[in-house]
Amino acid sequence: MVVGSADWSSSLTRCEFKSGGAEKVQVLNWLFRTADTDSSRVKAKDRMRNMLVYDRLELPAGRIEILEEELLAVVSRYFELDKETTRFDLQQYDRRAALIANFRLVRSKC
Amino acid sequence: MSGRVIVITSGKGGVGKTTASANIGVALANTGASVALVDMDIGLRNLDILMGLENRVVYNLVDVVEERCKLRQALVRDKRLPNLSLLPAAQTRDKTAVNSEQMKKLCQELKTTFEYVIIDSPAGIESGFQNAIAGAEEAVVITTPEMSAVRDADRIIGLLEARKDEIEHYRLVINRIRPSMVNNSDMMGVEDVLEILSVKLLGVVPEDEEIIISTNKGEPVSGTDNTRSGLAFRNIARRLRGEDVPLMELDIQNGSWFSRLVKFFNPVRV
Repeated sequence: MVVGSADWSSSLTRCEFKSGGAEKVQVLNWLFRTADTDSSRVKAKDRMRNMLVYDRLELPAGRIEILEEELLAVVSRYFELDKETTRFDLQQYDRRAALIANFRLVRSKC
Repeated sequence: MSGRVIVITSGKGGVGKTTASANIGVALANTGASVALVDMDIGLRNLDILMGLENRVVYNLVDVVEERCKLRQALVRDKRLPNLSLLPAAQTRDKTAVNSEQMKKLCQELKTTFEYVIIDSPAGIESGFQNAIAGAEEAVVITTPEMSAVRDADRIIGLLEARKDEIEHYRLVINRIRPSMVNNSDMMGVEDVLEILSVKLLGVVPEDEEIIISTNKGEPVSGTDNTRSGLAFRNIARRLRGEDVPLMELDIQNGSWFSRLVKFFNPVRV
């Protein structure tokens, strides 16, 4: 449903663009608004979120990556890991950051 | 009497601290409250201009602190509102001319005669800002929906949080929102900024050319009836007074969903 409406909107937008009228394109985009991840609004928000995690923790760039490597090394001593799917995320809850690590464990090494 | 001392601050310059201070002061005074506006931007005095009082400044805040005059001699009464006074900043001194202790004492004194003491903080996070928040119990953080302003607001919020004992609470004003740009996803909206900063909202002020005109005249928009920004500032003042005022509809300029549709199918410009 969502995919359908997105296609519908973009084809209409293209149509309208040929017949001119940038404003109509705008209105159409607005009427058939989808989660436009390419918009500068979404870009700004994503950049802000990421930036503020580092600002608030006074965290220098690259520090988290070092921590990730160390964590990986520690967990790897106990488990065989699926490194492809291992994920680290810094997320914001209220004004506090949370480091969420997701290790996919294949088997114990004991 | 023991009034409320509210500091208006932002971190970044040029986001509308002084405009907000003047308008909130006028709007509060229009509700009947007695209000003192304090310009803490020592060396870069501007609040007197926005209030249209630049020709009446005799003494200033530094004169009071250094005891060259009495507090009431330095206070400039507003042209229209007798219950509104301005304590101007010194223009020829700098931020080091006062310290936090002196500011606390000054705020204590102002609180005894005014219901609201509104302090216009300078930009930055250095001594000028520290002095501005020294005597305050509440803060209003001003930002615009731009990344640099939001980042600086976040820094200010961090500094206010660190002084929770003195600053009981703080709320956010998002200034210069352009609803049409937000609708087109070309600007962060109110929800975006609130989500990023995780802070309580005090109000939203739309971008308005009337602000420039009102500054030219020295008459803050919140004192006149027919401007959108003026209404937004009056709502902010009412919320400060404890009233529950809903956010104003920002999208009027673009019309409703239905009127947009009509416009789309009927492209004749009126």
